[in-house]
Amino acid sequence: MRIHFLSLFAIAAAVSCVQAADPDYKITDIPAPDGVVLEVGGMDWMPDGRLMMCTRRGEIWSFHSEKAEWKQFASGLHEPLGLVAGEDDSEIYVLQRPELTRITDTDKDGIAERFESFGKGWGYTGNYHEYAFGLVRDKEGSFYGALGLGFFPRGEPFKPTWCSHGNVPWRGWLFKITADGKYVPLNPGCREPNSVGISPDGDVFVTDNQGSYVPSGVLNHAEPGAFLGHPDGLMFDKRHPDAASYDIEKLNSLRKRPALYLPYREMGMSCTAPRWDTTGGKFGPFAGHVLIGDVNTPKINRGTLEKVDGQFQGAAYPFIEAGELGGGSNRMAFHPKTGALYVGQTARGWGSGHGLKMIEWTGKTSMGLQEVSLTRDGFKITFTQPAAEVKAESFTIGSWVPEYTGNYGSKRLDTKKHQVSGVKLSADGLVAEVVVEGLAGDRLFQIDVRNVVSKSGGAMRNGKAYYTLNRLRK
Amino acid sequence: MKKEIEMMKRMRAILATLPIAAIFALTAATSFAADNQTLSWEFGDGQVHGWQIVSGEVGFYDGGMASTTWETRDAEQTTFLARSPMFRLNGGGGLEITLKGGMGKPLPATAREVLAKPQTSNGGPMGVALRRVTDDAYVLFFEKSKTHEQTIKVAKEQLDKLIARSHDEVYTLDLVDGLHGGWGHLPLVRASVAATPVGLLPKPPAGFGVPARHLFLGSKHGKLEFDKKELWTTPGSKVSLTLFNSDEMAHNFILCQPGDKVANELGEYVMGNLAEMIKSAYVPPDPRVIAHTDLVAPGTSDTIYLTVPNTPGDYPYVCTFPGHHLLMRGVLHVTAELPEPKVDVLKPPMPGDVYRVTVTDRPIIVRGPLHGSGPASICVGSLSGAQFAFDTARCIVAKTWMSPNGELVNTKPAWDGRGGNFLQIMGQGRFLAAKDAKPLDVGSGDVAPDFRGYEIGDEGYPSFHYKLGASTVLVRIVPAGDGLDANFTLKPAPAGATYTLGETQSIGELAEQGTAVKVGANFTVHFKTK
Repeated sequence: MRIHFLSLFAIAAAVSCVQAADPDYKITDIPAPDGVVLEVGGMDWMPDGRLMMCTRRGEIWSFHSEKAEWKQFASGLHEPLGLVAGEDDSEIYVLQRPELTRITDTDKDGIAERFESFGKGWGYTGNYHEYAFGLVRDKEGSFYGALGLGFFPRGEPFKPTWCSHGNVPWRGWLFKITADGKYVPLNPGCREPNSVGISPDGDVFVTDNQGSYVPSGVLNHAEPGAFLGHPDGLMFDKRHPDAASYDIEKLNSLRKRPALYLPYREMGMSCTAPRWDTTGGKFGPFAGHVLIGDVNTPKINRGTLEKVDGQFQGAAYPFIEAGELGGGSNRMAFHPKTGALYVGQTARGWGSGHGLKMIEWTGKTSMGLQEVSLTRDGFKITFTQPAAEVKAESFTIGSWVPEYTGNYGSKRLDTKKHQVSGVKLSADGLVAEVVVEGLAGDRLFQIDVRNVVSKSGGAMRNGKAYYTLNRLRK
Repeated sequence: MKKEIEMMKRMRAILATLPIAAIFALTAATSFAADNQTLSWEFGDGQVHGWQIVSGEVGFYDGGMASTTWETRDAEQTTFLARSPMFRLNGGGGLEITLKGGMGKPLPATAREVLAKPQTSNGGPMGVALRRVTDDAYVLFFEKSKTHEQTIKVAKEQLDKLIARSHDEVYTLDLVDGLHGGWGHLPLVRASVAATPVGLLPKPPAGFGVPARHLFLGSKHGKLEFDKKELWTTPGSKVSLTLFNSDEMAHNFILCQPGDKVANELGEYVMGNLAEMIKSAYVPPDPRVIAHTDLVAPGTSDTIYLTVPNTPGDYPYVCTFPGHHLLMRGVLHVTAELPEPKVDVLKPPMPGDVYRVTVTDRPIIVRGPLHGSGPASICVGSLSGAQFAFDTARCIVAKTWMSPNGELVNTKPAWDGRGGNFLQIMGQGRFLAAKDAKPLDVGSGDVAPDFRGYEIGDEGYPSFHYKLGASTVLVRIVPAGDGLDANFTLKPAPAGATYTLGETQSIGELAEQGTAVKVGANFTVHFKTK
């Protein structure tokens, strides 16, 4: 018990080094009406400019960003954690714990009347950990969500604690519900997948939370049929009737590696729904990058993805780490016109903070890391501003293997330091290519360039990146 | 070394009396004015900042002031109670408290109870309360809703409600830690409140001793009334009584012997002898006067000390300023057992505070796991107090209950912290379906129903619909007579469909439990809830 208490202090100390405000982004709190506990579980923009949000208390609220008007659309829902706008201003789709519901304001009076059970198919016991996370829609009109495992002390069959029961189907699976309401399970292997996202190219991804079989926060690519890591979902996978007998080596050989690892503590502790920057530059120079929020700490992280050997991997970067953001960044949505990022927050049960924030780009971008990508013998590092000069010593590179284990909390195995044996800086100072010794696959690389200064004398802000190196380039 | 120990002993002796002694001053009547002062205390520096340790031992943890006994948790401990200096709310803002540590049981209604109850393992209350000094009542209390740091804010508007009730009420903040046997601790990091300190009361007369109780009385502005029409104390107790006058005219306070007519007669005497009474602060030379204050000018106060009579009873008090006696009066109840104070406890607007869902002017729907009904139940509260839960897995009315004051469910187990516990009905349970109940038989054998959703009608009641075999079933459940009517529509209506009545149910005249009633396309099942 005592050790537990001390470790909480350690975590508190580790995450306490955030500044109050962000130099490049302006964060504004948008207060909800008096008495409304806005624990945001899902949000999306309606055609008429309202931001529609569902809360963990079962309410649906709209906020018109220009009129600054709040209106309650519906209530009485079961901890909804995903929302997508429907065909028009009077219709939304909401993912509740037991089902996907189509909610319609039939008489267009601003209040919903019809709650259709649009899609369902999974089991739910009432256990608090059995969340249904969502919600995104692809071009064919199919909805995607993912189901959390229940938490049963002394659980079975995979110890220690998180599991599904044989008669509670599809827990731990990422699923889709087609446009005509058919439930289709897609990928086993999730633990607490909060939540799904869809890239501009239409690839479906899902984040998962650190715990048993999940070494840290991760962004997984939901490649069709892939096993994403946590073995409990395999109980319902017809391809693996003997899954209960699989040992850790077998599971490790079957699992698809995450596209991104978000190291525990450095990049928060409970990652949330990924959202791609589709603002084309209105939110800064990171168009096409993916943003991932955190429940416990005031952080929003950023990631870039590339395909190596046909598989997604890439780099994660600390992005917005401002105390005034507060905790609980659960869902995000870019304003379709202004490009401002709206952040719906809740942390109840795992931290503090709830409500709605708006983040706007000030137009300024401090010196930092634009992108880190893999070359055949090292990394190509693009800065946001031209660098003054770089030497081999400017780069501190380390790596480790995130331990895949059934224990809650995984170690960093085989930590190594890597020598930089060659550096080339482009003429415009924006791109540095480094040759790194000991480059190897199935490792997480930490790239630290904090001492690099821009040509105009700007110090590095967030000069750290974490590259998930699953495969080497041939 | 010995000298130092002696000094330490003396210092400790002085420090022990200091908090109590500190309320007395050398000056007489205090002058005051409402202002926008904010009292705030920060406990990160290991000092008590004038707070009185009423019970237990103080320590400092986690950047706050807490009970020192939390490290030896498994032994039974004295309840820790730290108390702020007295203050009056001044309407200049709200109240904010930052606490760390854990959660315990809610605080009882009074400070007296906190200290009187013997504390058992893991059973104690923990929190901060706004205590009304006059009757020790906890009018506002904060319990943490989560572990680690939590800041609780009470808006100015909520404090304004308290001020409206009693303008000059005197309060303290009480930090209570009565949790033993576990790892709970409750460091108070900081507290701030828009309030004016009461400061130091005038010293009691020599030889009076220490008062057991401080009573505070104020006036209601613009009305000729005391803010409290009742006060309580025990027989023979030593009390201080302070009359604050923030009104525009002068007032006094006279405590009289019991009797229906005493207050009136004293007031009438003053009216009939004005010239004489002006000279003696409007206090008649009447043996029934037990004690009295001076005439208190607007913006000032007066404090008196008295030893209350040993005889229990109702002792009237009155203001005898000419014309005031008719309305400006009250009763001091001298009684051995002090009652639970009449107090509208203001619950602070903490996140997740409104857990008890209550129907007011429109039906309410709450969906969640409900005991006896199932993990995906839809609870509906009606305007008549007849409540029900529809289980979307079995597609039946699984539960009904009656709640005359409109309460539906307590959502705290499901919505507080990580949730994970089932909703609780509030009211009297009336009907509970058997686990395998399948009252509607459409002849499709043992087929599972398929819940399709619900639609809310004009009056706010939902109509549920589901598929059962080849039929679509629509059920509209509304309050009717002594309970609820579940109006069924079957499409198509198979020949030979039956509905088996459960407890409290009837179809038309048929009410015997277990009767399989033949039903057609439309039928109504009545659920009696009264």
